[in-house]
Order: sequence, then C-alpha cells, then structure tokens
Amino acid sequence: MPRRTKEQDGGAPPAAAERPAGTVAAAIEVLRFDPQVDREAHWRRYEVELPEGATVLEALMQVQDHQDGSLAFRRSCRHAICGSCGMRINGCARLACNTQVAVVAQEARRRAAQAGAAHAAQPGAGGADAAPAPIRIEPLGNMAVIKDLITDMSEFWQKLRGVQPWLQSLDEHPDPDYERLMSPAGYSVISQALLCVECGCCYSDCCSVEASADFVGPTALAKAFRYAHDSRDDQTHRRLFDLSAEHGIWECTRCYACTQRCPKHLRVRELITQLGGLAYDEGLRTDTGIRRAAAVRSSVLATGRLDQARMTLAATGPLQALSRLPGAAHAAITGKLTLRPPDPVERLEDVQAVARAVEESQTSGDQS
Amino acid sequence: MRYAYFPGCVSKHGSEELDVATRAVCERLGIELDELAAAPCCGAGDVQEIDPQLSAALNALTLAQAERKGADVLTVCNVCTLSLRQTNELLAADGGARAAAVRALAAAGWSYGGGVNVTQLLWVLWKQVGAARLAEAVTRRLTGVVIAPFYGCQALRPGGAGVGVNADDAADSPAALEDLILACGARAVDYDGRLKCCGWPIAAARDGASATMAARAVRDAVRAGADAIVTPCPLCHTSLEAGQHGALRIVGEELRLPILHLPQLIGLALGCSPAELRLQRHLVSTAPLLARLGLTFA
Repeated sequence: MPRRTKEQDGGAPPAAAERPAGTVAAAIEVLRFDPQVDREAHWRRYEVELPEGATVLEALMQVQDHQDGSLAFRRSCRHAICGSCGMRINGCARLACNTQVAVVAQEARRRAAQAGAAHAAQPGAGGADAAPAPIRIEPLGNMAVIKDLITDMSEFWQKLRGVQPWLQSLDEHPDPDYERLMSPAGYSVISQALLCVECGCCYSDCCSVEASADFVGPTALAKAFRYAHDSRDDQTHRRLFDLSAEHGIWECTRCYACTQRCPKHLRVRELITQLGGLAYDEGLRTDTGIRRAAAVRSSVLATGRLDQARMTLAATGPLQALSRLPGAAHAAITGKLTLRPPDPVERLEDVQAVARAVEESQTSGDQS
Repeated sequence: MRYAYFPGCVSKHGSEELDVATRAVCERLGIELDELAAAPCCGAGDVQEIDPQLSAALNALTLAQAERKGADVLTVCNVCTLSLRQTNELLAADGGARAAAVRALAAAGWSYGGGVNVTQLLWVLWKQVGAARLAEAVTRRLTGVVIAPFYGCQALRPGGAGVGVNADDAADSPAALEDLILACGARAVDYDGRLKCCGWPIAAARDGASATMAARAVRDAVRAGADAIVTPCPLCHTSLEAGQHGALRIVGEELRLPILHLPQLIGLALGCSPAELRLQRHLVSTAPLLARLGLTFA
C-alpha cells in the first residue's frame, strides 16, 4: 500500500517527517480506572508508532508491552470472531481488532477541527489540518467497569441466556440418529443473525438500555430472532410470549444504534422489527407497543393519516391516558393536542385500494 | 429548486407550526414546494412492524405520486424520511416484496419507476442551499443565542456504506445542524444528548424510559448553556417538549428549555416574525428566547 501524503491523511502528527515509511504514528488517550487505586476514572495519554494498517488492538498491545504493563483490556482472536475486544473508540463502540489506527486518527482530527469551527462561530472554518487530536478509547457503555477497558458483562450474558439460545423441540423423534434438516430458504432467513459474535458493541450504545437498565437489549433480541425463525425449533410462540414482556421487544426505541455499531454488519434493528411482526402474527397483541402499532395502522386505513391522540388512547387505554391528563390539558391549550380527527388525505380511495390489494394478497397466501 | 413536499401527519395535525414555518422559509429561499396532498402516512415505524407489506405499498404510493410530479420528495421529519428511503431501497431490490408492492400499486392505478430520491429540509438547507448562501440571506443575525442541535436518530442512522440508507452526513460526527446554526449567527454547543434518542417511538409503550431519554437530553443541553434546542424532526420536538413535564422526578431538576423546529430557527434569522413562525404554539414557552433577540409575539 502506498504511503499516504499529508494532504490525503488530513494532517499527520508532528513527528511525521522523521517517521519511517510505511508506519503510522498516533496519540491515544485511554480512560483508566483501577478500583484498588483510583477514586474515579482518568485519561492517560500514550504515543504509539506502528506499521501502516495496524489496528487499535495492536496499539494497545504495544502500550501494554513497552510503555505500561498495567493497562488492562480483553482480547483474543484478532480476527473479529471472538468478540472480546469491544470498546468505545472515539465515542463509538467498536472491535479494537478491526479498527485501524490511521482511520480513527483521521476521524479524531476531523472531529476536533469540526468542533473548533463550531466554537469559533465561523461556518466552514477549521478544516482537517487542525492540531492533532488523540484517539479516545473508553470501556463499553451500559456496563460497570472492572478495570480500565474491562467491563463487567455479567448482566449482558444473563440477558443473552434469558432468551434460551439453544434449539428446543418437543417433537422427540423415536430414532436418536434422526437428523433435523433445514431448507436453504429457511437458512437464508437466519443466516444474518448467525453472524453475531456477542461482542456487546450494540448493547454498549443502545439508547433503551441506557434509559432502562433491565431492557433485554439488541444482542439478546438478535439471538432470539435466530431461534424464533429456526425451522428446527418449535418453541417460537413461547419465545415470543416471553419477549413480549415489560423489558422485551417493545422497549426498543428504534434508535438504530445497534445496526450502526454492529462490526459484523447485522441489521440488528431490522431483525427486531421482524421479531415484533412475528409476535403480532402469533397473536401476541396485548402489549401497549403492539396496540399502538395496530392503532396507527387503523388510523392510516381510515384517513390516510396518523392520529396521535387516538393512537395514544388506543395504545395505553383510558386509565394510563388519565394519568397523562395534566400534560394533555396543557398540550390542548397550546393546540398541540387536538381531539379533532385529522383531515383525510386527498384521494383516500387510492390509499384504501392499495391497502385492500395488500390484504387480499395476504389472505390468498400470495406473498411471493 | 422544486420538491414534492411531504409534510407528514404531525405537521398537518398537532404541530402545524412546522408546516407553516417550512413554507415561510422555503418561500424566502426560493425553494418551490409542490405538496403531495394525496400521500398517506409513512407508517411511523409502527405499520412497518406489524404489516411490512402495507407500509411498503403505502410508501410506494407516495413515491409514485412524487414521480408523477417529476420531483424528488422533501419531508420535514426523520421518521418519514427513513421510512420512504427504506421503501425505495426495498423497491430497488429485485425480490418478492417489490413484486407485492408493485401489484398493490397497480390495483389503484399507480406505478413507480424508481426514479425518486427522498430527502428532508435539513439536508436541502445544508447541501442544496448551503450554509454560505443561507448566511448571505440572513437579515436578523441571532447573535448571542446559544443553540443545542438535536439531530434525532433516524436523520443519521442507519447510515454509511453497508449500514443503511442515510448517508447525508457522518452518522457519528455530523456537522449539518451546527453549520446551519452558525449561518444564522447563533452559537452551537456540544452536549451528551446531541446524537441520542428522544424516546418518541416508545412514548406510549414505555413512558418511563421514553421520558428519561427526553429529560436527560434536555438536561444535558441546559447544562451546556443552551437557550434552546433545535431539531429537524417533529417527533423529537414532541418528545423533548413533553418530556420536560416530569423532569423533576426523573433528573431531579425542573426544565424549561424551548424546543425549536429547524425552520423556526432559520425563519427567525431570515427575518420572519415569531407569529409568522407560530412560535407561540409551544408547550415550553419560547418567550425568554425571543426576549434575548428583542422580539415578542405581538
């Protein structure tokens, strides 16, 4: 790989001139915490120089080997398979072993320049060639820290075990050697979910876990998707019943942080969406979240529009709606909340014709 | 610049100030809006969950209507944008879902050739108009006002190569709102809640978690010294306003931070009056913010 020029690199660190060809130099700041010594976490800065293309994990190993043997982090395979080295790099949960130093060094510089421009109140000021900014490395979020970059993942594992991630079938075949086969089409449904390496990156940056610590989280839901859809498992309904509880599917806030973070490129939120649909198809329709979805659907079929007031009332029921009365009254005064139904969209008959065609294709089983 | 304007349900019913402010700003900037008056709700992420075929068909209808107008879709909502983009992605792929949507459209006499792009006001202001041209159009610089940008999840995520359909700005380090705030002459602050979730999708189902998300984001903005939050999404606006109601119980302090729709901020800088932007139609009063600019509702 040819060496990047200073321009391409968006401004190299000061030592660039003396640096041997084919190497990358960067400053990294690690959030250190040793419960035996520290009252609170603190940033510690290190300078590293590595072969071009080196990963953040290699940078941390260099620090540990040559600068500070007390630095603690988890790692094993170095191939984005074991899922051990999840950590926040520049604020985003990533695997250190498949994140290149050069890439995140450039990202850190660009962000610093951007922040500088914003504070200077000068649109377009700054640019990528501002002062070198360190790569910032922190432990995963939504977990307690044991030491430095090592987090306590016990709750994460407990939630994962909670979805019973193993095949279950009540259908005991008389022949113990009977092989349960899966069709290629059946495999293609679950193949994406199989890629999960349980690194915790999605869980770390999940907005719902942050707001509600008991939320089962995206990793467990992706895992549940795989078993709910596995043709060799006959416990789909029970699994979805369990996942329809308080801290299950319907606590996901659709922030897409999981899809954004997954180092294996699973579209995690999209899997959760399908899991919700499967619960609906299984007749599990009592949760407020699913009632809201059904209310939106009816509202759209009736007027072509979403009616927020009726959606909330239909979803929560009159009792919970009553508890919102003070807020609702205030909203009604400003005009933000209105009980007047929305005006239907023009040519509502087109909307309804499309909806009817969809319904007919669903009832005739023609979903090809 | 001409767009097929998709106002979305919330700006037509509940947060009408967003629709009014959008029209005012677009008129001043020479952006022609041709409203999609027959376009149905995007599904709000809810219909997608329980009836994905229906949401795809309804969004395909909206795209077909825009195609007949010969214009790209402009929305004023993150959720509408993502829903329409996801449908566009699905219709571009050659699968069963596409075939089903095409058949459903045909039942109502519509077809869609796939030639429509979907964008929202934020991206048009940032990319098509541009911060520099906007700054030139500013007649009332919002000097001394500190604004906390709140992007809203679905403006940015899922975004980037191999991740998802949103690719207008860097998903983890966006600059669009900051650039626009600066162009208005105001100052932008950084704060923890900037790229987090407002909690709207679970406002009914898990009101505690939802209100926690909203209240924490507003608290962080207050601590950073903001006079107001600005957001490109009416659902974020709704949640961040409503979430201040029980803030004392959730974050231990009372919160009274105005939550502006993006075109309201831009409109103020372009010289629109507060009444023209319906700034009195807010749960949290915008009067203290306006007072800093020497403005009133009168």
